[in-house]
Amino acid sequence: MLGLPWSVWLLLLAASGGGLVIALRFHGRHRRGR
Amino acid sequence: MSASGWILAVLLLYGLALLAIGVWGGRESKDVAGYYVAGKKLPSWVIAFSTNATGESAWLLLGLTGMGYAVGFHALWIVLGEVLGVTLGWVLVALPFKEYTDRYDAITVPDYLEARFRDTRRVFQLIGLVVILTMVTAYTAAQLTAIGKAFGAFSGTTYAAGVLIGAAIILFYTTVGGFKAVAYSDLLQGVLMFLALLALPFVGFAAAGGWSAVIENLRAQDPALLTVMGSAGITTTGVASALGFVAVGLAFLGAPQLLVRWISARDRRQIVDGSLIAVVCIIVFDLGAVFSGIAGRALFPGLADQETILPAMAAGLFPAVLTGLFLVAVLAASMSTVDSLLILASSSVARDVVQKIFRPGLSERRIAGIGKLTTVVIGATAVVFALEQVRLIFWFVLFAWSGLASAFTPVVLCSLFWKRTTRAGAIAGMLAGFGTAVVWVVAFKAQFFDLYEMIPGFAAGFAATILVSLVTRPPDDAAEEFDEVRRAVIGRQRPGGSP
Repeated sequence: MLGLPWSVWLLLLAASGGGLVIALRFHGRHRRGR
Repeated sequence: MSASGWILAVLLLYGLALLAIGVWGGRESKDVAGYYVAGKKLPSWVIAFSTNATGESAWLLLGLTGMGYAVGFHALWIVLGEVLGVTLGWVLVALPFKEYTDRYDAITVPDYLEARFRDTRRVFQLIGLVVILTMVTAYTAAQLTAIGKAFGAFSGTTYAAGVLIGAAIILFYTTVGGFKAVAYSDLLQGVLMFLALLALPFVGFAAAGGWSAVIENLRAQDPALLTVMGSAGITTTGVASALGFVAVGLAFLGAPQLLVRWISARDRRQIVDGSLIAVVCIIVFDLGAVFSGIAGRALFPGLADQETILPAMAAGLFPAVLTGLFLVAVLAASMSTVDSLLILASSSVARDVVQKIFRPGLSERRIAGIGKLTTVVIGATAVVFALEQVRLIFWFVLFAWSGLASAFTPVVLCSLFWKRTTRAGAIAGMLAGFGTAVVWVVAFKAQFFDLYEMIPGFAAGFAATILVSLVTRPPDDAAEEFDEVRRAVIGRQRPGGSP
């Protein structure tokens, strides 16, 4: 895809998306809790 | 105005802004808590940007862009490690750590460890002093080297003049303004780094003819640049390299210069809000650096030193005033790390040792004064090293980064998440973590696929903490306190939980 193997896209997704999803869940849970 | 005139103008403006922040922060730095944690009043934006700008030094702008240039998409393992490190640090560590340190009125990490393990002999302060002073001096000297080189590369001043000017500015605002000036200057510096790394990859890819042109260019140079495992492929060397890259991010879970940012937060809400800001910021920092290096490889192939790719792109792709801003971003990345390290080392001497061990009766103002003097002495020592040895490079940065983290992070994590952790276990963990990281570099690293010292350092730190804790007794009331902290942290995230 776009000249790169799928493994690069997977690593890119894990690297950026993983942290963002965890942080969004943490933020949402604590904001709702107050 | 000529190109060098523009660059000097930008540089002057930046220097003046830092001096002004120093004077402004000065009002808060008269007592110990003011000087070292800005009176625990900092808002989310400041702690988030300050944590990332402190954790990321010139290594981010010169070293990580150079890594993208040298190994291509293999460098994404560093992004994975750092983003996960920052995320888990904020999501798991920050709130319980803040809760404990507020209960103890702690303002340094050894303060926290002393109270958490009911230590009456000040052992944590003494181990902390040795670890912090050695690592901070090496780390600071390497950053001052980067500052001297950046001045030389962009503005034409000599290396020595660059080191001295940079150090003088940092020492002024750090001693006069204390932690408040350090944290707010980190915000300014972090924003500059953010903007530089947001713009550079887009401009780089556009200048190189777009996405497809860059990918085809790299494929022609070396197809391994487009793979996740790099030129070594799926071999022990390749896996060790990927693991080492991921391990760089482990320090974000609990290096002392970062933990102190959470202590300085105004309240829990700043940490909850700061988490999201910090994670978005680190993603932009790291992806920006790696993709800039990748675009740079297509634009400027064959550079003798991969770490000059950012200056090459800044000078080649932008008008002079923006080239000046990139110089400022490199300086900002170094300075935001150096100021935080200096104030950490100063707290280790003045708060942890002078106030806690030798002269508990001294007034707050005198202790803060000793802290300022210590900042200058350690800064001056690092300047001497930087002037003597211009070959200090990022190897030192990664070494000091792992030395500080291996000593503190495994112990802090065990103390926060395992109620059986004991004082003896924590002491053993600090010594084993730090000792192993150092010995690994000196004696074993070359024979073991160049595995990054953070991995054996953390493994030894955790192993020693756990094994020694299992054969010793935790403090009597620590388990009860542990449960209270846990309830306080978890209870407040559910509707109807305790306030």
